[in-house]
Amino acid sequence: MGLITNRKEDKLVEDLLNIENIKTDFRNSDKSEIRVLDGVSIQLKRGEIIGLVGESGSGKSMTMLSALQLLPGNGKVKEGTVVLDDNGKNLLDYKPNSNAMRDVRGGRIGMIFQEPMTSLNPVMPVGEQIRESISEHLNLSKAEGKAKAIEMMEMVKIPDAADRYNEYPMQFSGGMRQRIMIAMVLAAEPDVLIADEATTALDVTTQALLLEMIKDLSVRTGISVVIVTHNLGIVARYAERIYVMYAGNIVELGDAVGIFHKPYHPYTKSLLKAIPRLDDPIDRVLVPIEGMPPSPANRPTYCAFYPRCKYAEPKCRELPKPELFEIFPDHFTACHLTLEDFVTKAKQADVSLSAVRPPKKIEDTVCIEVKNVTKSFTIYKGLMKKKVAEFNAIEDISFFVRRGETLGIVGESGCGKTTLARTIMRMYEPDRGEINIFGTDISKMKPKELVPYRKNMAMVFQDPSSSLDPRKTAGESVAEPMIIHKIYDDPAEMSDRVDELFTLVGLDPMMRDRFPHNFSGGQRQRIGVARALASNPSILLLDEPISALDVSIQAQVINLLEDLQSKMGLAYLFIAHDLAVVKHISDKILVMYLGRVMEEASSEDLYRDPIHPYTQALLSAVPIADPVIERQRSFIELQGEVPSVINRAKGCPFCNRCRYATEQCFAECPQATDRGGGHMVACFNK
Amino acid sequence: MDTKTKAAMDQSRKDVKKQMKKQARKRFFKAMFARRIVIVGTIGFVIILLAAIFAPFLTPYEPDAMNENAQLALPSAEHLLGTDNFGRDIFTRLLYGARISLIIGVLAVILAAVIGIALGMCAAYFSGIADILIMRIMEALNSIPNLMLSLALVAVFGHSMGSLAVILAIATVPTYVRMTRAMTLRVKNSDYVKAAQMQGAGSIFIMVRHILPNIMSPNLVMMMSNVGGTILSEASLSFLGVGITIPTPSWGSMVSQGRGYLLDNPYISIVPGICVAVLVICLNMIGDGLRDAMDPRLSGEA
Repeated sequence: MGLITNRKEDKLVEDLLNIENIKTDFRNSDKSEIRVLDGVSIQLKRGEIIGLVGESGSGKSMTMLSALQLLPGNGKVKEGTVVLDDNGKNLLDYKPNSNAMRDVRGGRIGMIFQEPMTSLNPVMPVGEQIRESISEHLNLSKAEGKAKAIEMMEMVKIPDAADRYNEYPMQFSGGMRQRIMIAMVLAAEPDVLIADEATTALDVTTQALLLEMIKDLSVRTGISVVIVTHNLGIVARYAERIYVMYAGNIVELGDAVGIFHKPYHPYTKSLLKAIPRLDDPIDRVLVPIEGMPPSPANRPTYCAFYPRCKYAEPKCRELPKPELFEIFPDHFTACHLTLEDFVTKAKQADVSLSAVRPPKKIEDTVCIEVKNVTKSFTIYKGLMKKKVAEFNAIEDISFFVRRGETLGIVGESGCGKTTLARTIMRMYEPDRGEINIFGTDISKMKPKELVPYRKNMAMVFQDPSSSLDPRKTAGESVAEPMIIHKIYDDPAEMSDRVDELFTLVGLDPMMRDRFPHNFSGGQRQRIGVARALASNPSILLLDEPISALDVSIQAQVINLLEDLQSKMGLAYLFIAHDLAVVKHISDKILVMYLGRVMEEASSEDLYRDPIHPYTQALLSAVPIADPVIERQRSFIELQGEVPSVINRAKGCPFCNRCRYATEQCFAECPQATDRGGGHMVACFNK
Repeated sequence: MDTKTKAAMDQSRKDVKKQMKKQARKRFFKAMFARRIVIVGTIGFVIILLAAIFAPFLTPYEPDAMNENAQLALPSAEHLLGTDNFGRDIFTRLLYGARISLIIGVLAVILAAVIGIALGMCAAYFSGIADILIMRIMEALNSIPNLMLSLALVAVFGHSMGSLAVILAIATVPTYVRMTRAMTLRVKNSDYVKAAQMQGAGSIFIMVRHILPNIMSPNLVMMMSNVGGTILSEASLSFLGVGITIPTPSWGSMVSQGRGYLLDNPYISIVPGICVAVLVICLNMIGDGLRDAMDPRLSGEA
């Protein structure tokens, strides 16, 4: 069997896939054409894992879709060649739906996407679906096919593969579905696997497990992998060579260490300065890339990064778009600037960069104190609304946040972060416990009594596109809390305040009469922050405020939030699943798992010395954007996946997946104990 | 900021606002009239509308004036479409009939939409008992065939123009309730409504400020195409003799009345029949255009 034999020996010798100078156009409804890819070339060797990174709209997925001729109807590859193996045949000469092209797509190159549910048939058992794709490529009897399908499922590490053969896609979790997709793709024994943001929607621990498995597959079977992602950490951990894309072009390529340690292109450099890392020093300042990537319709004829480039020289504007050239051995870049240019610019730039984050001023006033809050939900089922289950979405949560302080709340999906936020905002009434706002308990208040306290806290939502009313102008949205609380009698005064808020969050007040769809994602999030600040609150709940934004925009918003905090002494509750970001912004951190707090510590302590086994596993799963550091880290593999909170174990919520679990862990739930310096851990293990 | 620069800023802001409104309007009409058939429908509707408004100036006759000398006359220069069995001018009655059809149609639709949208919003927003109560009543209404329901209601309310509008409205309320409820459920769970709730906004505030504007456009589209349907229902009632009180001209009753004289003057029945069909088709065309123009995807590309 081809897959099992070890092909790893002839690794990195043979060119496998050669994508040369692809130019792709999209036709608009008014028949004008927009160039989305402007001469992209990618080489893939046998057995190699490469990373293709870029922000949304940079053309990374389009490159792969162009090569496979899977473009939507209005897209067309105008130029370029795609050669698989050394037979010299240009794949783009085949018709998109010809048998030859289909053989390549299914048989030689397999692709998996972000949302596996759209690629799986919901009414067919997964095993059958895998068997079907096997029988398309191999001539096997039904029984043989089934055996092979189970073998495939085992290969992608689906536990109890034989038993789960007849289960349907909806019975699997997101990570498992993605494995099934991989099994289907591998059934044809392809040479190349393209993972297009395949792990973006998954939790960090699941993401790490899946990528480890893919890496392992590549080592064992010699399959080549293209990881298409926006996450620099992932490529640092897994890719051997990296292609960086910006505005439809490859701007830099090289081996992983070179890209991360000797980046040449200003975009790569800026990107690395803009993303928070798990191993950052506490006072690191993020340097955001100002502005936005150009939309494909308005790309300039000169270097597309010029408007955002810190190192830009007048010549960059005058010369045509730069071509890739070899700057170091095996390290290519597309930039007009010379090393001397960088040195002189760096001197000027260093002045602004040396600004260290001012030490935070945390006052003693406690803004919000949550004590033993529990919120349960009941599930009713059937015609008679029979109560089938009651579960605690959050259980026994306590913390306090002072003026000017940030509490980070981390955990994977389903851990109760959002329920906690909504309970604090009193969208739900807690079953037990207290929520004290400046000493007043609001947990049992009636809606009418609550209104004056609501002025004191506000929330910023995750998705900037759905958190603003599409039919209200930006200014109207920002003014809303002031109308609700009747803060101003005079409309002119309120209008001035709206202008002030716009300026505060770095938006031009002239834009206040536009509608949300006229703004970019980052700008919309700024409007969301402005709205939250409108009633002059002292507590801000930030529910994943940056996870829907592009990497280069994230730093802008993080800096804005930090800036606002130091100016106004706000208390932040920062909810996120991105641990690097949480570490960067928080003073102390709460790690949640299935509705309970596992560990609470100052941000530095937690990352330096995680005590709870779950925290340890979580931290080890987060990739750091530095291949050298990555190679020294070890990854703690968690067993299984995050269970539903309804099936929480009787004892410690984590006991089923814990490496150190003892009988005591299964029997009773550990209470948080202080391990010194306010480092609270809920674990029996000393 | 001194007052001068502030005034200048306000002025330029107003200009921007105006400019954006103008652009939005332009985009709206461009999308609406992108298809030729919508233009045809609009022209047809405008002609009928103008004819109804200016009826007294377009014909020398009164709709109820009988002429014993010219009963069942065939079309001539004097009577464009001939006369009926009482010697009334068909063309005149057609013009005045258009008024009745349009007034009842529009009135009934507005009434139905107002009631339906209000009930639908309440059902979805308050959920629980309000939802169950409203929706069960709507289902009960829906389970009776429309024409039967109207006939029964006519027996109760009588057949003046006002009561006919109410009757036809009641028959179409459930469609609005259903659609509004479904859309409200979606809007209600959006983050911007949550944001308002978290600030302590009241139910009425949220319903008027956030929910209503976001559910209006599909309702407007439906209202437009329902005008045609309601006119058709009114014509059916009039045809059955329970519509608008005779001798007020109505297209439905004209078709019914001419049935007996098809051999003498077929125009008495045929022309109002064609008019109903043309008006309904025109209104549906406009409804289609409106749907294209109000497609939410459209506002995304700016």
